[in-house]
Amino acid sequence: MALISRWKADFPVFTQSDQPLYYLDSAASSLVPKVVADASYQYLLNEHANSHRGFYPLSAQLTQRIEDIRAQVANFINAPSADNIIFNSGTTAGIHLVANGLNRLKSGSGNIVISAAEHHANLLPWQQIAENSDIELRVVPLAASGQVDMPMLERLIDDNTLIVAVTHLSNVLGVENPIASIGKLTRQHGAFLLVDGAQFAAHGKVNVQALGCDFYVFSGHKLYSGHGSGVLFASDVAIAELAPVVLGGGMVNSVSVSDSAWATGVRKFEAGTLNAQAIIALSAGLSYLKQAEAEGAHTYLAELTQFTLDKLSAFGGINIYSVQQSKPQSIISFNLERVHSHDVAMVLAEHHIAVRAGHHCAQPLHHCLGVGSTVRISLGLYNQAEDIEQLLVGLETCRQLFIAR
Amino acid sequence: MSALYQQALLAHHQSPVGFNLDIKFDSAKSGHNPACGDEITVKVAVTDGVITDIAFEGDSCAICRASASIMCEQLKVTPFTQAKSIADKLIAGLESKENLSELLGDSYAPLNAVASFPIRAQCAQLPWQTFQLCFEELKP
Ligand SMILES: Cc1ncc(COP(=O)(O)O)c(C=O)c1O
Repeated sequence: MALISRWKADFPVFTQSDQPLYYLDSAASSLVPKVVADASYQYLLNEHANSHRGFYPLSAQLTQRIEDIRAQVANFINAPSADNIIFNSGTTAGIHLVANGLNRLKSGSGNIVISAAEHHANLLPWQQIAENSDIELRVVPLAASGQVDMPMLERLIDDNTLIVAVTHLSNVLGVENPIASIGKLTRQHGAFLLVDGAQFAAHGKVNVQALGCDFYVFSGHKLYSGHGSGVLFASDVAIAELAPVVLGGGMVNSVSVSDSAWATGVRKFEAGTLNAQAIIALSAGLSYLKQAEAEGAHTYLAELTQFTLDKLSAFGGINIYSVQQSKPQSIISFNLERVHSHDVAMVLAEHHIAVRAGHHCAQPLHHCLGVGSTVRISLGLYNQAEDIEQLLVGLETCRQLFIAR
Repeated sequence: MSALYQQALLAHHQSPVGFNLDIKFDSAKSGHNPACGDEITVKVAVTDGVITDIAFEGDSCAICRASASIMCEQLKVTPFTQAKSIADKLIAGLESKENLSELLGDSYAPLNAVASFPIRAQCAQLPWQTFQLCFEELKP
């Protein structure tokens, strides 16, 4: 089995320094290929202006470019139309827009359902609503599979459920939730479904219509696109119920000192100057990812994940919290028995290995796992067997340093 | 082999002094480092202004544990107010990246390298900050 990446050479960071880099932290931010950096650079040199404002060609062309990218993003997640795509700064911002803009959440009663595996970005906004109103926050536990416990979910959703907000792919366990089934259940009760796609978007084909969700959120920086871009998909029904949260330039049809009329369509959710540089990078990143997918990226990464799981199991003395799945999903959290995750991460850093250690912004999930923190490795297109071999060298050093014989 | 985890520090990590909460105590306090999840409980017994016993326990990283071990080793049978001033110095010394063995003596040498890793300096400070809470409760 030749687990050598055909994409690694696309990422200049690996040849930039004489120090090696074993980057196993793509779930935090994936690295950026040269084509994306080039697109950003060309934009800044030749196309930079304020979009959606000017009558001169530079601005008008940029406006057109951004609207084309809106269509490209719609296509990426199979949204019905570009009019369902709202640009913002990331997943956190997208969830915030929904939590603070949805009319039904202002009624002050009912309930919101989330899962125990949520990233704080998909927990704290709902928690705050519950604290400030009579709306109840219900948290569905996880089944042994690491997925949302479906029978429990069925019990917790009722006709007073306003919205269900769950992650598509856990950023700690790497487990994919059965979103389409959750969507069905949600619709039966007239609730909205928000899916946190921050992790999944890099790892599988997203089809928001097949999933049956009303909102789907993700961030460009986990999609090889650098920082600054985010996408909120909202269905037509959802948009009709969503009020703008951030108010300002570019989102209105007419304004007087006493009264304003919002622009129609998604532009009313995009007040202020759009981050065109980040949106153009996102476009280049999505094209790059699409090409890689056509070249077999998903299968490659599933094989590499399985290889990693097998190696870690064989190493011994490691508690792996990710559950075996038919299609392993590039994220593995573990602890070396009797060694704190931060000590592991420090020693790995001395071996030029980048991992994440801590609670990964998912403290409630760590409570469920019964641990304070974990080491997380997450794979990207540039990873290959060599990275995992080096990881094992680093872990062996940890074992020698910390575990008294 | 490792810049941070030198033998002397690892020795404290592997056989920590005072890792035993089963002591008679006058004050028990818990400390928590939200940045990394370290949790520690420190207990002290003070008689006639002198620390007669001090112990710790918790789920923490090697740096925190070694620092707590050094604390228990150094503060036992020390006048309470003098112990407080050692804690103040150590916390400030880690903050300003001072050489701890020059500042406080050779027993603190295992922590010298920690100051160069600002995120981990917090881990070394935690036991001492928790001890300061005990001091606040019992202070003469
Ligand atoms: C599942 C999940 N949700 C939300 C976020 C937050 O994303 P961002 O920091 O880009 O807003 C992350 C990333 O850390 C994540 O993994």
